[in-house]
Amino acid sequence: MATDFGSSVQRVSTGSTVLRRLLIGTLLLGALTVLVTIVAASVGPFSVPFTHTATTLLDLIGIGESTAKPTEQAIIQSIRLPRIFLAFIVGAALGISGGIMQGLFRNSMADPGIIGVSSGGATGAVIAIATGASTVSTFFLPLFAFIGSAVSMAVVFLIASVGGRFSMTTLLLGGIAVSSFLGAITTATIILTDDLNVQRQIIFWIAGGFDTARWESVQIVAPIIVVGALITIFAARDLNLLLIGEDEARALGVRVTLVRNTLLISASLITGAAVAYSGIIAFVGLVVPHVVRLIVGADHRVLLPLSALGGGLFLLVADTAARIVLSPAELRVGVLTALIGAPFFIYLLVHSRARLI
Amino acid sequence: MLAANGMLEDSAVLRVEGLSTKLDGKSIVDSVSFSVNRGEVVGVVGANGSGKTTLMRTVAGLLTANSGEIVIDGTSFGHASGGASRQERSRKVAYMPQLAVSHPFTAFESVLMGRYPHLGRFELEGSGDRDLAWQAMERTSTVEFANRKLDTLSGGERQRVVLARVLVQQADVLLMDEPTASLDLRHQILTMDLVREEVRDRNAAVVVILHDLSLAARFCDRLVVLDGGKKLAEGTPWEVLTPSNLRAAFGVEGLVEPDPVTGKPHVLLLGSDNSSKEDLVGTGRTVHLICGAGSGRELMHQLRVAGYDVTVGVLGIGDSDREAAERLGLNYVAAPPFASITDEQHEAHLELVKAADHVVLCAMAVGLNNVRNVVAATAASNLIMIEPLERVGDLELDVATGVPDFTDGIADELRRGMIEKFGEIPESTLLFELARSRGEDL
Amino acid sequence: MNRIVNVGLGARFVVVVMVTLTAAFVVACGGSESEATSVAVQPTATVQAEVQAESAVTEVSVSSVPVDVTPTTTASVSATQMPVATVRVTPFAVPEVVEVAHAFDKSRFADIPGIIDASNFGWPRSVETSEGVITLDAPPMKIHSLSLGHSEILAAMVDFDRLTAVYSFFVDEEQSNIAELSVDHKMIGFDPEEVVVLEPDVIIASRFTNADTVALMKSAGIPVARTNLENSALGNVPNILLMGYLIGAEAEAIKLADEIQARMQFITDVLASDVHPRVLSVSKWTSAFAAGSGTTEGGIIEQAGGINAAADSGIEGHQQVSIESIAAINPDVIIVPQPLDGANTFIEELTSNPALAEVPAVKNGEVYYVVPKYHTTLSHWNVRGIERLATLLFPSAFSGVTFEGFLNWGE
Repeated sequence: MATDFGSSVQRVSTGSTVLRRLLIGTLLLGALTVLVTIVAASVGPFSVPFTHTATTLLDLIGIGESTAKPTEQAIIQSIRLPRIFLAFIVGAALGISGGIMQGLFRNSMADPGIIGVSSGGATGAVIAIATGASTVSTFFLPLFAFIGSAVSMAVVFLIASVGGRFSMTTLLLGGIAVSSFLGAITTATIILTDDLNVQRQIIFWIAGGFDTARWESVQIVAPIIVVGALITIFAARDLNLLLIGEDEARALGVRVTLVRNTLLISASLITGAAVAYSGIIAFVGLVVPHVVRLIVGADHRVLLPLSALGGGLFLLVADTAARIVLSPAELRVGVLTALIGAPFFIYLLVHSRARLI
Repeated sequence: MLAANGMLEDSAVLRVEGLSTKLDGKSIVDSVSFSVNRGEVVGVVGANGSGKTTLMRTVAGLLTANSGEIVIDGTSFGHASGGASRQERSRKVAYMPQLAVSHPFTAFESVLMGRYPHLGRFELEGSGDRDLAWQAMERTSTVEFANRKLDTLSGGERQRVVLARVLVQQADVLLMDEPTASLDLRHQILTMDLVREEVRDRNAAVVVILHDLSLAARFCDRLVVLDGGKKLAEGTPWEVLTPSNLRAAFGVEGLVEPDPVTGKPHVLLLGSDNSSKEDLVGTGRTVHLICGAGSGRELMHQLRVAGYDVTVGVLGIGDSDREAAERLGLNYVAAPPFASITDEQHEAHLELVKAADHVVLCAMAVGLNNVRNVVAATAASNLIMIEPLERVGDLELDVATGVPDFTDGIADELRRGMIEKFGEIPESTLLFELARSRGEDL
Repeated sequence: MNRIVNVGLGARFVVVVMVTLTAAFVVACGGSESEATSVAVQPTATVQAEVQAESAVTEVSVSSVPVDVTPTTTASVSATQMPVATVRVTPFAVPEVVEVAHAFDKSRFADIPGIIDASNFGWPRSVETSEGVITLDAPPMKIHSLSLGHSEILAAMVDFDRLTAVYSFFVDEEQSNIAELSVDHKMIGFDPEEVVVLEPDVIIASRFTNADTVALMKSAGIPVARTNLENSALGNVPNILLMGYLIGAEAEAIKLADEIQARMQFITDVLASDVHPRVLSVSKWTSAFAAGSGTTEGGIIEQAGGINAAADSGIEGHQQVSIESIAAINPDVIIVPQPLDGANTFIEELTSNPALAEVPAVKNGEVYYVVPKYHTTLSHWNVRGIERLATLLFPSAFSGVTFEGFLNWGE
């Protein structure tokens, strides 16, 4: 007879299983993404009749033949679609990386740039702009930004590993210190540059945007983000265990240092890749994992994939709005993410305070 | 004991050999060895900083040992890195930490994580795993908050959830660092019952750190006492929980007596050497001890801690009781080694006997040299006699009272007469007896 | 755009009084060191009036002002009940001593906003800008301009050495029309202190100058005129005349104004066509920016006979646009006013993008790099931009026409 602590309590429902939550979430967000993609491919300053958009999209997936004029096809295929893809994949990168950082640092304030990746990217971009390298080739700006991200991440890692013992607190503080330092370099460059155009470019780049998206950008950035995302999802269950305590994680078979470093590096690199092609887009990496956690819970095997989908969807919506609200001019998407995201987040905070605590 | 296949053949499921662990260059665990068999609960006790947690974390593989060996179920986990994989180890050893970190998972999710070592990387928990989790939650009565996030639970509730997770892991060896720390009394007992049941049903082995020595004595088959990183003692609770071990390992005075319900050792803590002497039961009262060859040593400590003034009868130089009396600064009558008690010494002894409120005669061996100590006892009006720990069997001597007698029965005769008059009590109840008589006096 | 109106009449009154006192102080300093001291320690109405009267006397020798003219400060001064007007008139019974170096048509200044007394061509003279009224005692020999556009205009009217300093971006060949002049000139940074140290007689600010910078300079006792710069070449003429008046280069200002007017008239005469191509001015600085309504580039397009396609599509000011926006704007001509490196990359991107293949500008090969300095600064040099763009848009109308260089402004 088994020892029983107390009155026998009925088993309560613990919600659906991981698989069910993942499937339902994926289907829902996937369907919404398809829907938004169709809308995003249909709208823009250049008006394309919806039937033309629809047939072009169907043509692309091998159904029927596009009825659109060549220009319309070009607009959809070489302007809107790469931009849609880039916005989605960058949003996915930021969502997943925010989810990882919040888990690793056990801090819901953590965002993808927490260990200096965004500031490093910004500094790299500023160097590319200020030296004029960005006008030489369209690859230089993202390249410099990515190098900036990687270098700053490496520096923060070194700081946290000094003395042979790795410390998450030092990592966090090192990230803050390096970010401040790089921020000062960026600001100093803006102030000291003689060229007003350079200043404007930097400010615009920092506000983030997808107006320069091309298939070439997608081809470079997508593999990095997809591989990074797969690695992190591969380690999702280990991240769960890390969250219940390092000792517990070790005792349950997790190679803590390996998993933590893999997660930190992949999350930082996919953030760096995202930042390199989009500039600094605030709020997505902070809010999306939060919201997803409120809805599906903290299990990273569900949280990370759905944060990726949610982040992609959110950024796609924001970028579509950025394209059309001032048409034919456009807003910076980084401005819109905060404009849309902040009120929505506040609403969630107010309505689910009890569950957040 | 190496078998042909190179594996260590051993009945012990966990064997720790000469394990040493340093933290920041400081030695915390110093060549500790012990082993645990299947179906056995081994308690680790010791003062704060004695290295219990470090020892357990090293065994759990959370810290790297500087030297020594850990053999779990025949597989060696040496101090060098490598060896068997972490997941393999995690199927064999479960670890329950002292403090449960708060996190955003629900209690149920948290319990289910105990199944991870048994799942492949992309394998999701099946209904079997979920059933196990439910059973564990039922056993720890945590079902009612299965859906609550862990950071909304109290410390004790959280600890029970962690216990459920450890059970779900179904490891051969359970390492538990103070599993009852945040629990109320009822849940302490229930938790330990659960641990015993787990050991019995699954033939598992448990190493548990406990602060409550009586709880440790009650639930553990064997105890390992740590002091300053070294193993001070190992054995059954009765073997290990002695007043001197308590003093050495914890710096406290304690009485160990049988628990009236379980018969296991019950530790009654008297206090430490520097406890306040005010309001103690013995304050202002004098107890005279007649003892020798170590028979009165514990009592001297205990009586002092209880506030009594203690005087001691004639003790020869080199007698371990005399050393104790000297150390405690007690008033005693001294004699040269191996010499008979002189008239002068006997007179002085009688003075002390008469001056005392109580006279206690220990069950010490008596020879011709010290037979006058027993004689002096007869002068006492309120004598308390201590019965021997073990009655000595039929030797060449007359041992009617069970106390070794080398006086051709003189001492035994005297003793018998006094037993008829005053009776005998076990050593561990002396303080109760004294306290009771104090209560009658008042 | 009078900023002061916005802060209310009370504030305006205070500012006017302050400017008057500052002007009086400057006058006193110029006239007599000892009197300046007395002004500083005893700023009462009486002393003030005397000082002004006396210092005015010392200025007569270089003045061509008729004696009976009442200074324009009268209104504000009488409001503070300082009898300046009366006092001032008395000692001015001196005949004209020196005429200006060359004659010019004074009537041209009659309706120029900001000139307080359009009949006073002597010193002191006063102008009113959004920074209030300033009075200069003598032709300023040390003029400091805070904007490139103003510096370009000033360079056309006076010897460049009278400009106290230039800024680093003035030397950029592609962005500045006075790059050559600026190369060997004194160059300063953006710290207002560096301007104060130069002790300029007057500072000319533009509408882009930070209010705090202006306030700092004014508090250092330097008169500041903030004058407008217009997007249209002809619209700038009054500003040019006002500046000419302020610095005593009336004849040169008229000459510059005449030339602008003549050149613009010529273009208008040639452009008899009813065809107005839709022109998009767009440059790429990381992101692409189109010049909408209210921009210099847009003004040049319109004056060159085109339609600003961006403004036509509802864009105001400089706004970020995407390639698709350019397709939607669908311009006949695209001009890229930015340094050649970036311009070439961008033009390549525009002409190779399939989404723009049907845009007339791309289809017809009408995507041009234009020298940014004619399109982005606000000065008479915009005329050069207009002339060139007009030639580009209407090659047949302008075939055989060679635009002459500007008269004596270093082209």
